[in-house]
Amino acid sequence: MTAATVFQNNLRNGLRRGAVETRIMLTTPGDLVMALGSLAIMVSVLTIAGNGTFEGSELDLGSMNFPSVLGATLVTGTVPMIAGKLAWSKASGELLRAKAIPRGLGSFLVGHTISVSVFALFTVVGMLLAGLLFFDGLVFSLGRLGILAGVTAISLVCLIPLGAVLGSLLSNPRHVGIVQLPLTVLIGISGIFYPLAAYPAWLQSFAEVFPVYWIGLGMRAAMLPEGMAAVELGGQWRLGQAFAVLAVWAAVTLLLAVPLLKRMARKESGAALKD
Amino acid sequence: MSAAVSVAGLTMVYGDKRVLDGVDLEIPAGEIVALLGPNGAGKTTTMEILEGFRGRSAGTVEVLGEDPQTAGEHWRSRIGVVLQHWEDHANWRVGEFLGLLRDHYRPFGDCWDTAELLDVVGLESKKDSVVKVLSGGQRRRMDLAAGLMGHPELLFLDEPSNGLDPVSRRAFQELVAKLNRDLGITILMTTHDLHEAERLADRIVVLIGGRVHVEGTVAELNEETGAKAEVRWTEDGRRHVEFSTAPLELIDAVRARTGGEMTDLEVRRSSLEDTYLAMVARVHAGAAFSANEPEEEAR
Repeated sequence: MTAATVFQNNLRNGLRRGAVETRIMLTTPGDLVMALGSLAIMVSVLTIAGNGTFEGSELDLGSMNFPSVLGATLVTGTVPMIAGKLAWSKASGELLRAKAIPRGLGSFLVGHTISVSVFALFTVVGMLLAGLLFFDGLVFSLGRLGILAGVTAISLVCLIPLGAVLGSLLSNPRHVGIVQLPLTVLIGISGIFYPLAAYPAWLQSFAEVFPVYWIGLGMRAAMLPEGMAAVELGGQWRLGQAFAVLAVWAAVTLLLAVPLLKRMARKESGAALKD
Repeated sequence: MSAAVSVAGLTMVYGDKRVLDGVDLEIPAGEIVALLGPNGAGKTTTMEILEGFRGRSAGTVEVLGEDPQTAGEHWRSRIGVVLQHWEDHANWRVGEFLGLLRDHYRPFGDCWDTAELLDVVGLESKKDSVVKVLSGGQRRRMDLAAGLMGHPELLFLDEPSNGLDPVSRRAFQELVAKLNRDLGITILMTTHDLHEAERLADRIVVLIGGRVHVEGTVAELNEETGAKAEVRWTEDGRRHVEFSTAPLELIDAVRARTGGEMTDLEVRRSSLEDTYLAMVARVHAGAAFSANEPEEEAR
């Protein structure tokens, strides 16, 4: 069997697995309530905040914060989710099942990547529709939607392996909270709640190391009026730099994810499952 | 008959703990073999090495003619695995789960049609049911179906009927026996249910302390361990009970003594449970009992 055939089989089985997992996520009340509920809460908060403005800017606070919140939603909707899925796959025996069937691990990874990506995109599209309806300050055009799609795509390529790396290190699905803790800190210093330019220099440098800031920056560049770039570090969107940093993160996390996932699968056994 | 499993000198060491210590095992194709032993005896480790789930420290292992440690995906498609604990794919429908497995096995050769397989395991009406609503017995049948999907030549069953109620357990055991009888699948199972082992297995292998202490049919094990049959009869209006390793000779002796007067005769041969418990007790007491034991332990 050629490598191309193996790849095709993995992809086809992964797509089938991903389609079923996505259907389950989109029809499971708990998952939907979590996604739509948090979406409704965020939009409500932003709508209420929308009455104010920031330091003389003509842009309402709701519109100003909306793209950053969208970026944060992408982060929180992917990293803990894929980490949780991997951790649960160890506890439930799904990973061992994947080991027990021919070419099971390939379709297992493709399937979960697809389901988490689709669910994240579902949330992003939902929020975008809310943005169109409720926030007049946002700028939409074909070119900007292209930027948005590009930022979303590279963010997913970066965040899903990051979640996989973290998930491969978790021994118990109940430990997913450990993943959320540093994410919350990074979101807090990513310029979502307050422009990064107003933070101390050391905190700015720290935030710039991580992908969360750059995802938020990319979202802002895609949806806010040009004039708002003045609030950002260096007074510009630095979109090229955002793509470059996210690409580096994607490469690093992908390189780390492959051996860590192999290690996770190798360590999985029936005895571990019984424990 | 060719060997489905051939193991020689299998050793597994974790740190300074020797979990398996020179296990030799031969399973001819078409047999059902039960691997018994107390907790920590090395049953699961042995199974996982044979399934290709973990490596080994020493020894040679051949499963269906290949070393599981290096065997590829085609070899994987020739074996079926049913573990004790599965909670996966709980939100999937039974049919779509088995359909996905079918897609995995199909490139490697013949595999079951999903509807046919559901019929074989008695879940034909559950194709559209969500896995998590299946009863314990139905879930085990689905797990068995998953293990069978690729028409395996060798099926591993790890405590297959653990946690099932007596009716489900009996039905499951009958299904396993039927699969072996009708399809000729070689089965290696572990179990703590000695009635199940006695009922299903052609041969029993008892692992204690990482070594094969004894193996054979139930009758051979009884003989080897000197297990006694219980003989009860009425003589001169009184009930008598005696335990003997040679019940027929005992009966002959009583008949000769009483001139054939021996009524209400009952003979209960030693069960596998009696034999096994006696064996474990003797091992714990430090007694050597088996001709198969390594020399150094027999001394």
